[in-house]
Amino acid sequence: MANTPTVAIVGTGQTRYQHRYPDVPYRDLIFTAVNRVLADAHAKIADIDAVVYPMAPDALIGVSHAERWAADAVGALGKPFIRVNTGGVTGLSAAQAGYDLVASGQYDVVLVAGADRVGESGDAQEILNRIWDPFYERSLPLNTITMLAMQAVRFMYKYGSDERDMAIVSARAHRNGVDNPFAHIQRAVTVEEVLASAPISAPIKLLDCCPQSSGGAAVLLCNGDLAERFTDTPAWIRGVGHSTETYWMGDRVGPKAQCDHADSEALRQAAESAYRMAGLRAADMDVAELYAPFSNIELHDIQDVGLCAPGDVMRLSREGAFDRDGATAVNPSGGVLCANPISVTALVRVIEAALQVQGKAGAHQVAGARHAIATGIGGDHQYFGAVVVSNTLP
Amino acid sequence: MNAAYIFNAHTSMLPKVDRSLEDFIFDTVSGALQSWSLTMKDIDGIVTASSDQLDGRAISIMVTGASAGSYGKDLINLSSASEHALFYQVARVLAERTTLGLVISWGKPSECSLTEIARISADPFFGREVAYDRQAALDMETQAFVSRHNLQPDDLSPLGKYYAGEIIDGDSCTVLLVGGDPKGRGSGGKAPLRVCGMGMSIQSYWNDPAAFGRWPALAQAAGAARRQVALADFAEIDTFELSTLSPAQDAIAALELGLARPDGLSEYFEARQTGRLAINRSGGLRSAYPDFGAGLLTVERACAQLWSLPQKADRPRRALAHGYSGFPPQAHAVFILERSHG
Repeated sequence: MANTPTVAIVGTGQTRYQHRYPDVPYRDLIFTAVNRVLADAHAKIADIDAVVYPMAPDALIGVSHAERWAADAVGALGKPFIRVNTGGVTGLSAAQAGYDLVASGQYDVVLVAGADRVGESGDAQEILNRIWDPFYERSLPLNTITMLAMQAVRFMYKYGSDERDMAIVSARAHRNGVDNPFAHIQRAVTVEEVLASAPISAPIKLLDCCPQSSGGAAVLLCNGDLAERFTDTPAWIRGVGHSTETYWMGDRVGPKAQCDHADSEALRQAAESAYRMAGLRAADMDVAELYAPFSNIELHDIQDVGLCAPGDVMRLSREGAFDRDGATAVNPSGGVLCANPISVTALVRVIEAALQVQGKAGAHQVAGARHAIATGIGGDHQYFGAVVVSNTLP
Repeated sequence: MNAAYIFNAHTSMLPKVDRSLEDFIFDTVSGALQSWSLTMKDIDGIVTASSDQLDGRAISIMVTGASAGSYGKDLINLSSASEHALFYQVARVLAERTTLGLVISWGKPSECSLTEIARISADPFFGREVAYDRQAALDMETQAFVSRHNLQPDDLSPLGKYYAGEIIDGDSCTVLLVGGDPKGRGSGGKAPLRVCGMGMSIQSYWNDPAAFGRWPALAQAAGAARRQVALADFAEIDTFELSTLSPAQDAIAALELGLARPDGLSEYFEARQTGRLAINRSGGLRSAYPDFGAGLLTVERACAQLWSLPQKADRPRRALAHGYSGFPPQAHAVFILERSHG
């Protein structure tokens, strides 16, 4: 990358995430997030050269190609404007696209901004139930919860975890979410409360699940040479990576499985790409904002991004290694279990990672955070992405 | 300074509807790679563009990604327009993140109702109750254009022969091979085409009467692309492939690109007639229109035109490809492709 510019995150903006915004139209959610990122970076719309818009899927908004409807709200008029759509990882993919546009040397300042209103789309599961192949798998019946419940069962079988291990993850996330003013869920829960919550799809229970959230998020990226124009504390994007695995559930089981549903080889590849590009190791990460819409997903995320050896995650989690004051703070924001505005959920992971290395995370700041990894998952546990940010360049 | 090249390009047109979208994409991509003597192992970055509603899949790229070769790859999918996938892949090449990559997009309107999709593209508060679709937008755009320029509809008749007949929806899938090393593999002996200029812009979603029938975003996109090539105008463009569907769109594009003047449309008509301006030599998009896939299809056709032209001794051959999205057109992208004369 010797010939390419460095890229910095110089501003972030979020709305509060909540189930519904009955009095705020979709475009206004975006507008609010954009105004906040501009204020944070002391920037104007005129400073922005191009805009990347995360949105997936169309049906959650109820307007086909709603990015066109939102173009003026995000300040894109007269500028290059692209929409990224890779399912749940969309927000992080959009951040990567923003990185690429700056690193290409074509644009100096790129805004990545969007919004979602998952809580207002009728029933998000009605839409997500239709993401599976109609001939072989939809009739299982497969949905985002049952799919990941199968992952939990497989993980338990392979690594010996149990429902308490999942509950420990959930309790940690909810404890962290209390200190995040943007989190949808700001209520601590105990391990026993998680274990006693209503069954959804065994072994997943209600408090193992993310909420359906609405809200907007934005980051401002710029050529590193210009960073000081916008902030004294840039978060440098040191590494990015994406990888993909199978769409078919049936290809994750049995003797001819292409991958193991317990883990994610593609997440491991994405994280390794990002670490390699950054010149850092997993052990260097002070913070990990990992995309985990269900508590069991965080267990495999932690392993697959290399924060521990396979099978060690349950013990380390019980010992507090992933608490805010642990070896690597995992989801100090509360993570996806405390807010899931799908189109921007993975962008929020990048934002929270950036806030940590900038020292701007407020009450949920991890002391001395220098390096952080953010991840995203899209499709049916299929598209994976990772971004590594630092408070310094190599 | 890094550069990005198109080494090869292929489009499949599907004449019948008995192949699924997934099979159609797989056939096209695998067939293209085979004909280019490549395998997926040679590819390190894929950018696709898909439309959830047009494809009839809640998240299209979940289902279609494997057909596009996604497994174990860095694949990013865009949904704003097919041509945007090339825009982004070029950026990745310039950023040294893709060495040899694919750009893939498609449109399969045989499987969907474009009118219904158009209706749900309208915002729910102001536009959805209006029976508004592509044809209505084209007609209203024509009315606005002739009114603005004090023309009669017949005044555009010299362009009518380029847009004869109904728009026929047609299924297509386009694959481009893109990379940063001009000696890159897979060209099959074709000269690499440098993407020497590209620009993109979007105008308002709202059909302000003052803006209707104008494409300022095209002028902005074209200006950005032209500045990158340091061209004063488009006189040194040998061939244009424009995503125009009507005589009015043709004239609007010509005005926005500076190929015609508002008071000199007859000169433009003559330039088209004599062949001095080579626009849409491929035949245009009306005979098989893939809707969302149209923009990348125009790029593939521009490449084909450029590869077919004899070299010039004194300067590179250049093609301009244009794609738009929205109806009426809202976002425009322009690519200037260059075939070296060396």
